[in-house]
Amino acid sequence: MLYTVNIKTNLKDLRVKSEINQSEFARLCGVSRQTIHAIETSKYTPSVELALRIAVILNLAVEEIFSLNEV
Amino acid sequence: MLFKFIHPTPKSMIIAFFIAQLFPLLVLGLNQKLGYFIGWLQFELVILGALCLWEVKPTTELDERETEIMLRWKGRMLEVVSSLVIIPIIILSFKPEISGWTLFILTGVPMYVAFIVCTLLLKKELGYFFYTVNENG
Repeated sequence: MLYTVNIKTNLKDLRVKSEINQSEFARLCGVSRQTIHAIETSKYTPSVELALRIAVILNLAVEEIFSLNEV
Repeated sequence: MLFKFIHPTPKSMIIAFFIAQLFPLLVLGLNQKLGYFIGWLQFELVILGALCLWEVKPTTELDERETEIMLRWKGRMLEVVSSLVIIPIIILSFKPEISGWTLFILTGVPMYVAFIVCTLLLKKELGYFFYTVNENG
């Protein structure tokens, strides 16, 4: 069966809820602001390391931020 | 490997640009033909220099997404440029008497254009055209 899998995320909502702007969040994650924007818009799937780092910063589980979006 | 240590930052490129400005003038006094040639070469270098002022971040500051994009585009650039190398070989096999300048125009110029196009597309995918030192990451 041919299907595409990508990652669904609600990172933007969670970040806004935490009152952290993109630049500050990028600095905390150790990546560029453009990378955070790419993750938020589902244009880029982060590595496991970055996903875990994001989860630690937001004090949430990875599953609460990222989920599989099977089409 | 060399570019891991020598980063084409705006500051270093501006310094190199001003030093290069004086060089053809010095040569022009010694040998006119060579001076003109270096002057023409400098014209090309100015375009390259302008591109380098836009250069992406030093490799040590790239994050995982940027590294991935950079590697992908460098691979594509190599593919395109290496496929263009075959042009002079084919031309020379049919017309061995062809001049070096014609070969340069038919090969060097497409390579140069391919490099510029790939660099611009790389920057577009990275999400920025101008690198600032205070950028995160």
